[in-house]
Amino acid sequence: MKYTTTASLAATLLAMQASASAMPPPIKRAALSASPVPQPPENPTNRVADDPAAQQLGQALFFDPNLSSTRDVSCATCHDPARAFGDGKAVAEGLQTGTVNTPTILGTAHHRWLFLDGRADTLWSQALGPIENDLEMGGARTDVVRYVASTPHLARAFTEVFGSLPDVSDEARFPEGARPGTPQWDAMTEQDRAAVTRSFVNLGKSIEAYERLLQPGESDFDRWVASIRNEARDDSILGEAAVRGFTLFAGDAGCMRCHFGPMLSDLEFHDLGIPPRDPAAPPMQGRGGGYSKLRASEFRADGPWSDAAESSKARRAAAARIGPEHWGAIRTPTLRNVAHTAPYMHAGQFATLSEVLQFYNTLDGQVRRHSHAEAVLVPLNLSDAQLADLETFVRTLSGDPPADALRHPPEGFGISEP
Amino acid sequence: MQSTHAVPPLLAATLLISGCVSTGPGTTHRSTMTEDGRYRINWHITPDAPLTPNEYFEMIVTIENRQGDAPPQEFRFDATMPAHRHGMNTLVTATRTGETSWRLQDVNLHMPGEWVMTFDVTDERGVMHRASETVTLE
Repeated sequence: MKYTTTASLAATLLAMQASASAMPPPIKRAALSASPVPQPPENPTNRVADDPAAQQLGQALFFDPNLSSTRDVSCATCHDPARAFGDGKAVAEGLQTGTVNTPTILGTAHHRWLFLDGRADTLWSQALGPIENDLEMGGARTDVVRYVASTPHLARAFTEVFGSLPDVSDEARFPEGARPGTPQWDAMTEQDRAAVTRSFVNLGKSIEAYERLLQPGESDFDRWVASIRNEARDDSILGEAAVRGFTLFAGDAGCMRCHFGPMLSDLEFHDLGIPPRDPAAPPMQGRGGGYSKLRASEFRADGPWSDAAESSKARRAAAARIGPEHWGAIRTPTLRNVAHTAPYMHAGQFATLSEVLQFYNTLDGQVRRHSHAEAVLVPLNLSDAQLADLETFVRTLSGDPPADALRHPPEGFGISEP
Repeated sequence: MQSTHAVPPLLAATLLISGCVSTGPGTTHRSTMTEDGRYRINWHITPDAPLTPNEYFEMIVTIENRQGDAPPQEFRFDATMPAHRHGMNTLVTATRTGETSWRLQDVNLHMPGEWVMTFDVTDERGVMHRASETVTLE
């Protein structure tokens, strides 16, 4: 028995050695370009982006449902640590049912555009959006700042990072429910609005500091690529099917036209013509509409609340070009941890990875809304075995979860588990 | 000026350029002629680096007039992916830094594949001359 096992192992190793020498150079280069995941790029528009005290405050805020109008929805409601910081639902469900699928935020600090339509250009400004969105948390910045100011642990943590909070105890000056677009907000003085907004922005910057710690963990794919990099390629890490799958992924299937780089995403926008989840619903505007919102946002990287409005990062919104092809275009999702982020596509149209791959294989049901949809997207016409190999490969992109301490409310803030 | 930038072999290998001849140090010092042969466009990335998909970079362009001394009136740059039927996702800012030189900011060839760069030079009479160069990013 021992002899048989040893012989079998030797045969396997020989087979793998043989296959290792057969890896085409472009496939090898593609593998090396997609791993490891580096540290997130610096964000000079947030001066506390890597401040440990801000990270802890941000973590507390992330798990705190008191930022919502009903005091029962937090960031973690949709970005559930137990579900790879997604929610497992077709579309988000906060205070109301939303319209888009919740993306994982593992690795979110690598994105140059936030939200699926790119309507934010920094992670701190993204973090502020759901708090005041009636579909999500329905809060108001004045109430949020008042809550933080009146909660000793949070107020102390905030003061340590940003200095004193404004005195917002006077409800005549700082009315309940006051946020842009409300009569209460319009009734406030410009100075009071600025004071509230400044603190509100700093809460977003704290949440970004926490979210920057939520990196995709090392996956089997990363371990396999490391073996290639070390000139000791070990296909047993992935298995033969996944190696075949990666060869397709980086080669004939053309997946790496969009899913490339360490995040397996080009971080940009494409319209694949995914059939709508609800044909009666208005079509998503995608990047076209998202860019309009970005231009109108007071929280842009080159705006008044940025800590580096002249930085190269801040230039990007002004330098973005929007053309007809961006109408309906959705940000390319990362494939890191994709096995744990079902359902898929921007409105959860596909329940399984198999369904996703079937769509790419046939493009059945594709909706072409204009002539500028991705011209290179053609049916793959792969065999069932090849599709299975592709799926086996993308399942190797699951990484170790973040440290346990990052997956729960921090101690000392009195915040319960979601 | 001698480039001191060390190009990693892997990155150098990812750059596949067709249809032009290198004119200077570094992997991205290139030149191309306008279709009528009047202008030679010399360009390079600064700081010197290989062309890599989805990276923002700056380019320095210098234009040689091979049929006289008059400097160009205007210069424009663009890049498109013909097979994809789209161009860049950025608006390139071209700043004139001398009579015959421009600095291009916010260039980003955001996908792997074949890109066609176009360099449009407007001469002293207002006539446009085009040079193009195909680069394939892996």
